[in-house]
Amino acid sequence: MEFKKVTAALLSAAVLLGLAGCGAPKEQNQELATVQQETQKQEPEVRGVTAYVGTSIFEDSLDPIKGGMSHGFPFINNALLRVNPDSKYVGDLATDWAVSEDARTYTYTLRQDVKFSDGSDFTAEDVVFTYEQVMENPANNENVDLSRLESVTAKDDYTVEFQLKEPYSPFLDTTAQLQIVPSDSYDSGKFDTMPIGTGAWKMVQYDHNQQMILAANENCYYGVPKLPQVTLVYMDADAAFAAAKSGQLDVVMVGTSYADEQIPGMTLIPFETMDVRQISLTVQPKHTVTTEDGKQITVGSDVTSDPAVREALSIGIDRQKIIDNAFNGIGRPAVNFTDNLVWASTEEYPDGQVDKAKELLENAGWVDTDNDGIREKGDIRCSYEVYSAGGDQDRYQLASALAENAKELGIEIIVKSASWDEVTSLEYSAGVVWGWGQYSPTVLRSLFSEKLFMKGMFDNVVGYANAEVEAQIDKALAASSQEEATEAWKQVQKLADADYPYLYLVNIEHCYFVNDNLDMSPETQVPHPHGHGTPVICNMNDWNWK
Amino acid sequence: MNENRRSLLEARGISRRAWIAFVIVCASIYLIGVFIWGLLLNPETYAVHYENKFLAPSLAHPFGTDFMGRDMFYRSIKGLSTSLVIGVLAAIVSSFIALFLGIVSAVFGGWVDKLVNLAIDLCMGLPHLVLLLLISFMMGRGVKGITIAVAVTHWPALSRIVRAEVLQIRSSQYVQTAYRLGVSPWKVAVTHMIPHVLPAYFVGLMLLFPHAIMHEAAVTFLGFGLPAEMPSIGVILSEAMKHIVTGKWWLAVFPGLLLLAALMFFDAIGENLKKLWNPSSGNE
Amino acid sequence: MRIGKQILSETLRGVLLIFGVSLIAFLLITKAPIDPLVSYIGTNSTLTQETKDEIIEYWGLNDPLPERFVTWVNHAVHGDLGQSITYKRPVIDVIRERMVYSFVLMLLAWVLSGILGFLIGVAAGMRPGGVFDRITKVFCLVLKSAPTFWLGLIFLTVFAVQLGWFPLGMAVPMGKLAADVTIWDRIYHLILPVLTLTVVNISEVVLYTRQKVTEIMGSDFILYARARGETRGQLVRRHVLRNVALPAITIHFAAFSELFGGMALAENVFAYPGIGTATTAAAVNADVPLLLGIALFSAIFVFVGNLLANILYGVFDPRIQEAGYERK
Repeated sequence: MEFKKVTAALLSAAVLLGLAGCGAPKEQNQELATVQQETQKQEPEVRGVTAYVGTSIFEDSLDPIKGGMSHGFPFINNALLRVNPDSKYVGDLATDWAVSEDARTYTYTLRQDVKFSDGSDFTAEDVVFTYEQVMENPANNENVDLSRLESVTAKDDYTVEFQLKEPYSPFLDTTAQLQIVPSDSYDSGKFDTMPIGTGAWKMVQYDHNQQMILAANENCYYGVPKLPQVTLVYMDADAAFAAAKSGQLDVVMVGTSYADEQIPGMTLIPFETMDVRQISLTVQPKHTVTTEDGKQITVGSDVTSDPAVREALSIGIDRQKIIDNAFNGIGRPAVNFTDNLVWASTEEYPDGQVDKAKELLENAGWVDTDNDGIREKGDIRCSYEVYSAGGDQDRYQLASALAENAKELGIEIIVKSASWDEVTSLEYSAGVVWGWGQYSPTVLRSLFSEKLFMKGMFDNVVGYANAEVEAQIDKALAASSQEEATEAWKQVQKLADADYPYLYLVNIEHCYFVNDNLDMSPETQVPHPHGHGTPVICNMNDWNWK
Repeated sequence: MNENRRSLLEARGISRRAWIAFVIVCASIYLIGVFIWGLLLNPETYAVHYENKFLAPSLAHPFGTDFMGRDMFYRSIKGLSTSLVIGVLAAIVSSFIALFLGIVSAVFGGWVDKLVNLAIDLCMGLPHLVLLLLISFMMGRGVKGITIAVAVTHWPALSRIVRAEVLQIRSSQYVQTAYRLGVSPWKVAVTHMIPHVLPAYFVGLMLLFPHAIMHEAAVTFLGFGLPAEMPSIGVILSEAMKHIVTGKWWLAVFPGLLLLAALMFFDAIGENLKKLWNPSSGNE
Repeated sequence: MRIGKQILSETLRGVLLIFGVSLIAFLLITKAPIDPLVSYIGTNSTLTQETKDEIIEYWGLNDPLPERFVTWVNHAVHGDLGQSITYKRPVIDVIRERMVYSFVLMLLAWVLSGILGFLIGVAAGMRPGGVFDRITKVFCLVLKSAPTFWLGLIFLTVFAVQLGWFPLGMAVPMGKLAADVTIWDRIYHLILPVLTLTVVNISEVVLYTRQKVTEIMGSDFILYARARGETRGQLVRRHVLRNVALPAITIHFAAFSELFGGMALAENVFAYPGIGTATTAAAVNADVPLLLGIALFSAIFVFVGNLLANILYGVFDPRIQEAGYERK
């Protein structure tokens, strides 16, 4: 019976292959088991935490030299400064810092009791090494800009001095972004996934696009974490939700559309962020631009280039209603950058002024002549395309809810979806739902500086140009004190926001279902910067079982 | 075939033909109905209604509603209609390619035949889905990408059938006579071969539709086909996937059933036409 | 000898075919509206200009297309398919690691659908028109049209969400150290994807087997065999199995192309970390090196399926004819 033989052979091959893919010989398992038993004898075992905090943490290198974890919530390495829950900078690896009169010399005094997780001592040499690595390979690190740094020197073992080429006030932010690596054991290949640092956690196992297993670092200078282990898992958001439902996860990040759901034994906690969703309203009239490499790109829109349309949208829509519809009511209406940032504008205006918005539009010549509910001016229809990029359902829903709301003003918003690489060519002529949120005020330069138009991938896509704003940006960058810089940054926003080049919608909140027995210490959480749900790990060392 | 089975079939001959005709008519009504209904459907019927988020199926909303409160019944009809338009369009293009290549390779034979065979081998050398992704990727994704990808990858099987049919007739007496009388190969192809091939071609075309539609939906489901703002079954199902875990089963079940019915009806029309024109072919 | 020669010529043809297919895949990808350098390093690259120049030099990105292709083939033959943008690792490593997962999935589904499909087909074909036959036929006609991803979604809804019997995704339990993962963990995570893929692939085998069995049971030599007094069981063993099993296996091998597509869809539905999820990730991220690598790999996979089918066909064809049945 050939058939039987063939199937038998195939079956056994299948089983063999299955086994081959499974590794883990028995002996090893037993070994591990005995080790676990021994540790159990010594102290009552505390359970680790398994968390899903989005996938973006898996997508980038963890190596600080290459820009890893530079957005304000590092967990393996530490920077000289860190942000505290009030969004202010405090010392981390540095205890103190001073800026010279001419704003070109920054001197940092370092902590003396710090060890890396491999046991080596942390000294000024490591700081110099780290900064010089980034200075030598600037293109490797797009998050930390050291182009204005002239030199970094160790004055003694615990004092570091930075010389700038010119005054640059955001340098202080830089020292909170760039985390220090050990000069002795730095390994560019290994640090992408297994960096060695001074922080509360060390990487035990890193499975690409599956999980990272972190263990508490006993050498940590600000106290050993209360949890012995945290596992961050990589999966689809819906699978993560299901896993939480079946009790496999202690923390799960969810989109706002899941906020109505119930998970037994877990509670939904929304965390404050500085992450704002806004839609770019291009300010230039429609025309074609030929780029340096000869490509023809359409720039501008004849609808949003009219300031009346931009202002009518900004004051006429009902942000709370949009948030209710798109985000199940989670998040706060925003008309500018958030109030939990030191430098953010505090100038607010009421929205939902439908009558005033309509009047603005009519005075500008936008009238609904054909009674289809959408205004026209001559043969231009008051219609604007808005893209939601990269399959982000929350952004798509936000744009859709806005479109519903804008109908009442007689403005048509056509919501479309596209991939990010498609958006890079569409962003100059259509709206895009953007997410911005960071501690460093340099984001304002990205948003408003004429010099950056069509230079960076996502900078000033609206084509904003305002000499006064440009002057204030320069003033802020060159400021000799943080106070002076903050003042100028506020001026930048005051001037630019009056032209409504961006339609701010919502200051979002990051939502997590959290095990009822887990205390995530909300009081030590910093306002989350932009980070697709990952920033909740900022205070992982304070998490504890109740 | 043994004696009693044959007589049994003969006894049921007429009613069998009537049954086949009945199936074809029913299937056509469904497909054409959905197609036209979807085209004419007022967008208001599946518009956003935030107050109706995630309603389970009911009389008012037979298929329930989705995360933006859109009525899933009308959205599915519209979506299936879109899928039909793209699938049918692409399948017809593919079938023309198949007709052309099949006839050319059979009539001219020699290196032309070899070339066509090579093209078939190359086209079938990659898993169909991978080929679709590559072509859609090349065309810059979106509606254009997926339509072209489906249109230019569904011809190999049909062109083989056409080629076999043409080979069969080429060796027949009257075609040989025509050749000997000096009629040009092109004229022979048009006057003798195409009419002969048509039934097989038509059946093949019918059986292409479900493949083309399914592939469009699959690629869209994976995120390379139609964009989210275009209601189509692939988009609907990929959105449904995000809400299955929260128990919104109706988002996946009903639109899928609608698609399944369409695919089965196309299949039924094709198979029954085959039986009608070529009763001995059985159900191969 | 005849067989050896056939295998040799088939292999030779295969090498040419794979070369041709890679050429087409290469052309398709390079014609995509994307910058060649970006297609190799991604939009968020943090590489230095020197490294970028090295990559341009290494892959000949500024050369004319034919030269670029030759460069690519040259590297590919030496096992260097480049660096994946999505996974930030060599493409060959990504494929090797994920291939194991996908192979187990496909092999199990392929074997299961083959055996089950064959058995059901024989059972249905022995009594055409019977209750079992009719039920089988209806089921197969439905399954034939059912989209893989939809079936996967339905299984997910029923078995994972509503009943909670199976996990929703991944290949291993989360938070478990690699050393602690047992074979049961892996099987547990495999069941739903395998089930989906099996069900999708089964209808063709069933329908084919059923039809052949029906034909054979109605043929003259079965009539003679019956006249000789052979029992039903003997008939099945001596004539039916022998004559139907091998062609059935042959067409089952030829279905490798469909199997691959089904695998890709099932993996995406079940978030299973194999080649299928890598394929979509590569296409989403415009990860050209990985896309090319997967195209090459899948072409080889399809070719091996066809080769095995042809070899089986060649090896067993003579005896099939001897036994009195002629394959069309």
